[in-house]
Amino acid sequence: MTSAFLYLQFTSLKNRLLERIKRLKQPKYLFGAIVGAAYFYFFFFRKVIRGGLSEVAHHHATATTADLPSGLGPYLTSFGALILFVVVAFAWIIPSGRASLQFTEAEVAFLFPAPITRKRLINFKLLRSQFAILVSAFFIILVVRRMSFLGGNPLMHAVGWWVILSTLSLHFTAASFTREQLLSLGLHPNRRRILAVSFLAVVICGSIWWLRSHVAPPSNADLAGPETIVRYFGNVLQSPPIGWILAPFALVIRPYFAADLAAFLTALIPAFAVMAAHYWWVTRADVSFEEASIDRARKQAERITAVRSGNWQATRDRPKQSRPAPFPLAARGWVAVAFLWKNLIALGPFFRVRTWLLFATAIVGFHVWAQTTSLDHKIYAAISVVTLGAGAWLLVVGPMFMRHNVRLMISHFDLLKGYPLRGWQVLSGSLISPIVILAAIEWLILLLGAPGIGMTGRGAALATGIVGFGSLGIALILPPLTGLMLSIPFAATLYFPAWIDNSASRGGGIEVMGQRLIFFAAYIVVLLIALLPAALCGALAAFIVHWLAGIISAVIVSTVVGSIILGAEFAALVWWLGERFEQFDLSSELPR
Amino acid sequence: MIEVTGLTKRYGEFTAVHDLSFNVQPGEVMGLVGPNGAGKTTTLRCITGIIPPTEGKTHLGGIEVAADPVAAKRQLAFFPDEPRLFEYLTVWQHLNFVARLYGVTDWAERAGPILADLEMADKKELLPGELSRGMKQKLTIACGLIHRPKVIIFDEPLTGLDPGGIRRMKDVMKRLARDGAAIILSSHLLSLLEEVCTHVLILKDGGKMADGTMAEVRNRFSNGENLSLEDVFFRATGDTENSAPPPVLP
Repeated sequence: MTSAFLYLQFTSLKNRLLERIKRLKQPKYLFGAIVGAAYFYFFFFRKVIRGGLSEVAHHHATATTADLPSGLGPYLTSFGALILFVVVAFAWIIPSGRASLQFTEAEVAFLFPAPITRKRLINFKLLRSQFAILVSAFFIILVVRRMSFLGGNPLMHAVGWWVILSTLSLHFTAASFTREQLLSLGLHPNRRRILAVSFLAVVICGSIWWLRSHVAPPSNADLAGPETIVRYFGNVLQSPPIGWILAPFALVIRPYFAADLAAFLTALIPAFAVMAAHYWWVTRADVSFEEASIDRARKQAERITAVRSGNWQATRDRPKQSRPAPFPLAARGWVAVAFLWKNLIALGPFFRVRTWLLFATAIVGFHVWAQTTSLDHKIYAAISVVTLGAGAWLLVVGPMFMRHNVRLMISHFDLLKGYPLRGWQVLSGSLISPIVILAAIEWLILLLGAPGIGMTGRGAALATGIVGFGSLGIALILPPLTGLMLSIPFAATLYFPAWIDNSASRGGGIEVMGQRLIFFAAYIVVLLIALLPAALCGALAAFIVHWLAGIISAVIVSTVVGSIILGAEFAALVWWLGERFEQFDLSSELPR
Repeated sequence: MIEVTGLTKRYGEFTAVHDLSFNVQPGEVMGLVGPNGAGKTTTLRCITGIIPPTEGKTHLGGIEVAADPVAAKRQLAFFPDEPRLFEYLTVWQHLNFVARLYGVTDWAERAGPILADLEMADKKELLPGELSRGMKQKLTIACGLIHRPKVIIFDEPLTGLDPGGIRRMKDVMKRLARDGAAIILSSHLLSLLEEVCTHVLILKDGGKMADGTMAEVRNRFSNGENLSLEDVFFRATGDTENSAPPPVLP
């Protein structure tokens, strides 16, 4: 029977690859694949390919714990064991669902009524999960390749990750089976949680009590730097009874931190023993997982269908009760407001004016506290820099996150076209909600970050008035700028529908990643072009007004001019896209 | 061929199916009907061995499902309401995979005529994504027939089919019954049951309201008048939906 499962896995994989290769005949996938491959080459593989295997071999031959500060490896193992302990503890406290295994609907339809024992079904699931775990381990190694200071070599690290992820996967499955058994014995999830939390509390309190009587608190020398901190707390984690509790977790972690081949092989034997014990635990548990697995497969299939059709909102749990309207909707008025009203109801009571006012009040309170208590200027400045940096990042990336609105528009195309509305009205209705939400977040970020800008090194030269009026000006610019940025994905969808990731695209892969990179690059270029008129006119206005009326007036006038130009560009773009929307024939634009 | 005795399925305090017993002999088609939540799906899942019953026994071809699920399931084909197929297996590879699951050594010789019979001989190398809804349903049928099942269960088999597909599906069911299979057909389409089934079992709230041949069940609920299965269903379940006046629209 195992051969049937292997046949299914390998044939599916082969066909999947063949289909990917076949679709490279379409230019959008071919260019995507080229860009994606180039990205992977330059960011991950270039050094490996150029250095060749000689580098790996050299590293393998010379890698010792000397790469690490002396003797730090075992301490890192203890920290890893602690993290694993916390992750495992959550598996016993948080979940409340029934025992289930992840199967697809096709697997349920073919395998569940088939003449297969339950143990073989479990083996199939475990076998299949191995593929995903191996791929995950490979990508983790690619991403954290720079952690070669740990010693060992990439292959050992990959196997180490595989051991950790596989054991965790087995533990989660075994824990879900045991939870189900406890439930059948009458132990309600809440009681089980109380028991698990009580056990954890006893362990933590006992450890703290023991530490207080046997371990000296950290001295200044212990806290002098990262290395001394790691040594001190590593010692604490290795001392009994904490060391005993973490010992089984350390066995799983140890192969990853092994510094050389001998240490790796030595560590691998007990790690495999832990895995084998988990496997025995999973396969021996006599638990009915089938029904919950069928439900899980159905929900998963619904999610996949929803995501492919662009309806990400359908992936959330359905609301169990009606949600209050954010404001009364008049029967007449600007149509976009009706779209906003509908979307705010869907988003729930968090997205309300009062929530934003509460946040704003809290931020103002923070600034008052910071000024009155003379908060360290460095901290204040750091908060400002980090916050404004996050705001800038959100400004660029936020509209990309909101691209699902475009997919939603495509999936509801017939419905939207059926409304007695002009194209620009539909477009403004689709755009208004993300504009309002993103602009509100940006305003809060600005409110949090701007007052501290005067504390930063370069910002110290700025007068309070300039910072204040400058912030107000930026706040004025943000809504039309956000609208403009959000319009770009809509424009791309309406003018290059076949190139945009939509319901017609299936699966991921390097080519889809490349498509996203191409889109992002195009997005930045179009954005810079759109910003150019506003920047030039704003700069010109600032220059003239500065000469006539001073710096503060220049700041005010330039930002007002900038926001007016951006607003005009946005309005023109919405009108233009609206015209395109009215003539757009989805059936003839998308590939069949 | 299908023998269900005292089947009960409980979920905690809730009883989904209560003390259900019936038999389906070779050549018989038993229609399983009931309102939503009557326990039809739970009954089918227990019969197919997908979930264990709380009490009671099910025998397929004389083999008790709980005692020897693998041998019992070898005689079974289960057709779900939606054709759920492996996205990256071709038509031919689906049959190959199913044959391997059921240990059908002569599958290649059997698969050709089955596909030809279902007018799919030229679709062997296609993936499910390239098939129409009706073609997917046909592939599901082909997969179900490759191991010569003696017990066949259909769950809402006409969902999403066009008139041609509906006729084909009815023909398949009738032919399988003629060939000696014991069939259970679960559906809300009472006209389908009336046309295809020899027997009927009406469920409500997990309990049996009526069962027997179509004529027996009709006679039980009629006072001499000529009742349709729809009339019988509403009388058996005590449902009054058919007599409710249509809603008044503004």
